[in-house]
Amino acid sequence: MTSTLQETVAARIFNGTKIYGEGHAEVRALDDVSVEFQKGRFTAIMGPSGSGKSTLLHCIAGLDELTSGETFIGDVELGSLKDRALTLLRREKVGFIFQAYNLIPTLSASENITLPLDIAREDIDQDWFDQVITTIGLENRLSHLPTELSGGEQQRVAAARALVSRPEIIFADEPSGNLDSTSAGELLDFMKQAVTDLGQTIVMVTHDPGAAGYSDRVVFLGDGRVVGELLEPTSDAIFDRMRELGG
Amino acid sequence: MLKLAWKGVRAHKIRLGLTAIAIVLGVAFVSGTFVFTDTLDRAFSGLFDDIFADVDVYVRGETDFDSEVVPIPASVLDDVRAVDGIEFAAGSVEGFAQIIDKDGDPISNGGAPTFGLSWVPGAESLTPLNIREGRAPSQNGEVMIDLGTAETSKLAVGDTVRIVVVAGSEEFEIVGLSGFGSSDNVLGATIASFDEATAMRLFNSEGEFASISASTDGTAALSTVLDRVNDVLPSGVGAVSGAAQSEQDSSDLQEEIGFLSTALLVFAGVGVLVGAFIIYNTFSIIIAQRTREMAMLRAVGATASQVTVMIVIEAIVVGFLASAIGIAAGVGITWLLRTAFDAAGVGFPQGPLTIRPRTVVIGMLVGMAVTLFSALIPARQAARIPPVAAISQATIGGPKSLTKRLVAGTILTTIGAVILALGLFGSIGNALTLVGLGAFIVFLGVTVLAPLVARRSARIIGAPLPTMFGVTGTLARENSVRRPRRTAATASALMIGVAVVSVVAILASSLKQSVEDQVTESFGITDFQIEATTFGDPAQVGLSPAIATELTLVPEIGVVSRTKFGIWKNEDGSDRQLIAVDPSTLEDVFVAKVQTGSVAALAGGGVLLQVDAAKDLDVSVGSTLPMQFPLTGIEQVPVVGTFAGEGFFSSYLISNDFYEERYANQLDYQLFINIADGVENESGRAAIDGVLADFPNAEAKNLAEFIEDQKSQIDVLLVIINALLALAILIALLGIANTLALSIFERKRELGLLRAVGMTRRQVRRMIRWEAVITALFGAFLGLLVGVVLGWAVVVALEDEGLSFGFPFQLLTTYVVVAGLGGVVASLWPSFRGARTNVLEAIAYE
Ligand SMILES: Nc1ncnc2c1ncn2[C@@H]1O[C@H](COP(=O)(O)OP(=O)(O)O)[C@@H](O)[C@H]1O
Ligand SMILES: [Mg+2]
Repeated sequence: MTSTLQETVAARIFNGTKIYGEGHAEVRALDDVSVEFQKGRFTAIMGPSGSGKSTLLHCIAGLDELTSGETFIGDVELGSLKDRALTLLRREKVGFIFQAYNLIPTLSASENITLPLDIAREDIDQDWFDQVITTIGLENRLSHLPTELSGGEQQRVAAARALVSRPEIIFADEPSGNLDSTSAGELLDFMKQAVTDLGQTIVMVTHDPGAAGYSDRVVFLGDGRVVGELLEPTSDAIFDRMRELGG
Repeated sequence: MLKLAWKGVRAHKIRLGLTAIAIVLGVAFVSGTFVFTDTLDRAFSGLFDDIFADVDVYVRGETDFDSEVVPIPASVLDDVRAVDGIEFAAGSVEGFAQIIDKDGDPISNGGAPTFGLSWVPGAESLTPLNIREGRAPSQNGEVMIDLGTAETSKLAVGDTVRIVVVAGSEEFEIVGLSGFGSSDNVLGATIASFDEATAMRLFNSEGEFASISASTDGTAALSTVLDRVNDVLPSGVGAVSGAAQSEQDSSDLQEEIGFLSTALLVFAGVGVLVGAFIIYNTFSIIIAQRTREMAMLRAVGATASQVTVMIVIEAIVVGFLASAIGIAAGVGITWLLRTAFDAAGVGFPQGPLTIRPRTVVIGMLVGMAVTLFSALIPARQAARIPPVAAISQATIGGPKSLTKRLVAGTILTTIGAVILALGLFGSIGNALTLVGLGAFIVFLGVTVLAPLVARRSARIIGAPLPTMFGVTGTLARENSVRRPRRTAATASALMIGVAVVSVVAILASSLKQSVEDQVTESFGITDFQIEATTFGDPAQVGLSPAIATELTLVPEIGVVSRTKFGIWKNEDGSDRQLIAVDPSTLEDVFVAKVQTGSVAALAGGGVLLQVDAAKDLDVSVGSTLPMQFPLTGIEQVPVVGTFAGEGFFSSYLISNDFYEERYANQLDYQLFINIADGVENESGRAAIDGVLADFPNAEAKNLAEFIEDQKSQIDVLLVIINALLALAILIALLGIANTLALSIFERKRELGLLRAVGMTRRQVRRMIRWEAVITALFGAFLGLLVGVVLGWAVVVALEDEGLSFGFPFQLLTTYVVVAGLGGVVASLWPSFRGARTNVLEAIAYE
């Protein structure tokens, strides 16, 4: 039972606490949080500003360290890893989409997409690359520099980059935060497709119920704690729950 | 604005601090030069004050020649003593006395003089020399040496030393050790004192004094006594007050120190120039990074000129602080240098370092002017930032007209080249100043042009990187050209340094090439050459004439041809070098390439001129050349012939006999020797070495060794010059580090992203390192290009002097490699910082 559970879990945090600052300035950004993220699912993390969403994401993704508790990617505990091992783990098992500044300005779209593989000096799986590019709909944009792409296109390139190394899990922090609603819709569609059609695992932080509506499951955070959860949510249901929590 | 400017300095203290180092180094070199030479200067005038402290009247042969001592007949001493008002007078005998240490090597402290003196009992008050240990020499076979030399060479009273003098070399027992005033040694010079008779014999001055010192009894005014003394002196001998002589001697030295000072300042100038580029670049970058801040200021009502003033004030603050630190550093460096000299046994005069107001003023002026001037363009750029930039993402300094740049750069380069050519080939103005100015303008022109080729050049230089390091390499290459103007300005600083060292390398290699060519051509028929190993002014050090005399007696030796070295004065009073030769044997050892007249004709007394010199002086066989000699004054010397080529590195040849009557110095300069027919080279050499065993400061070399020796002297010079230029290169590398650090700061987000998607710290460091290497190599190649062209031009200009172009391929390649490695070193700190980029901070969205 436990083993099957482990197999289906892409990442988890166990009794995670993160404290910034000391004494009077102490901020408990995460307060004894435990969450699991299943493979092949699209999870959204929601909560008001300052509730610890980004902190949670950073800690699970190995970009930041917990003050106490444990986080796992697959069955690797991150707290024991040194910088180099963490970097290699990110390179192999984790993909990222940030709110802004996702692309290297000197590299073309396709070079940006293959960046993690190139950094690792690994071969590119051409079939997979083509499949990702087709899904994302950027076939004609591959040789363009980031400055020649629209914001939505840039974020889709970022998403493609996160996918191309077939990571075990992709973390996205407000990926549609800077986009107009049409571009946001396209991006989120693509992310959902990546989960349903390509079998990826995505964890996305957002404060937009509309965006969260694309997910399979929503985890609500408040003051650094998990305060609720919704499965197969609709935007309305999310909206209602938010109002309850914000109450 | 003042408050804002001050805050600006404080907010960017690390960045400005890095810039300041460039100024600090340049100013330190400038002020260090002043402190060093002023201290030397003061030490020397102090030294002469000591020497002449108790001398009221000083009698010496009158001559226009610094290097010559014109002897006085010994009988003059009695005449001086008889003068009313003179209390006591003593004659002094002086000469060359090279002390040999226990290992048989000549004691020489970096070319310091080797004095031999006479010790006159009872005349202690007239000389700064005093007996510290043992007693004064009183008879043949006894010597007193200075305490400093005794200590460094582990000699003591009772030891026996060999001393080389003009007549040969002899062994002496050390009976005493002398001090000089209160110090043990004077600037590394060795002093050997003998009793008067021995000194006269050793220094070939029987019945002669070099000078007479006297004290007065106070019964008459000094000027009256001087007049009385002058009345009894024969012509060609004169008396002056001790104070006047002291002043004369120190002003002669001051002139030489002045040369040293100028030479050092030139090197300091190169460093300061390079520093200027870096300051310009840093201010530009900092302003680009503060675009929003400037725009905000404009938006809230600051005028354009207020923004300029703010930056200028920032520059003044930085320039002031850096100059002050630089002056302090200059003093510190001089202190270290003196300590190092002391440790090396060269007695640098003690006492405080001389810091004249001029040192501080010039140091400050240079530092502040350079900073201010370099910040001017960036300050004006800042003023042009529109208020709207506060809300838009635009950065200033977008691509400007390339054509404008091309035109401006080309014009500048051309003007520079023209001025340079005027300096090299023309005959107006000061050639050196013109060459310097021309080179400076060419540097500016190339700097203006450099951004045009930066992108392409960097892509070519970085071409192998993608294959070597994948995307890390690609990124390094692309980053290096992201801001072509910035890269070009950074590289230009290094360009100047590399260009100057390349010119020096080319000159050195050309010089070596021509030395080899000329020596082979002129002395190809000589078997061996003998020269003094003692380092110093050839008019004062040399070979004992006894060597030639003894060599002539050796059966294995066929020909011994002697030469002497002398200075004569042209009609216009300028010093020229001549070589005295032996007309009967010269052509056995030297291919004279006589054009008119003959070498043999020199025997009758006359001068043989190099053809170009003859043309310049407008003389030919049959006419006479007015030449001034130390002992005989101006003479009309018959021109007996002309020769081509540069064989002797002197354009004027006279005969040894002619020379001996006109110069007090009787040392030989070089001996050229041919082995007797039928004798093996080895046994010939063994025979020569047998004779030289008694003359430890002489060494025989065959042609190949002689050429090697000449070349290695050029190499020594090359090393010294390069050491002085190292500062400019260091400042340039600092510039690379600075620019890189600033760029890394700008790219924090990008680095964070790369780290997030899996770039290891090591890969980040590699990426930054190669960016630095590309910039450094770009600068090095530019410098090489400019340097080779410049060097070639200089060599062509000097072709008449017998210089032929030699391309030091290996050396120049080494410079490029060193520049690349310098880039690696420059990248150490920026890459360390870059690799430490905090991912979270970088991706944080404001
Ligand atoms: N580097 C930091 N130093 C101090 N406090 C921080 C830092 N990062 C985040 N915090 C604090 O931690 C809490 C959670 O922040 P964050 O995870 O960014 O919230 P969210 O992404 O949900 O808006 C907030 O109160 C925030 O101020
Ligand atoms: Mg957040």
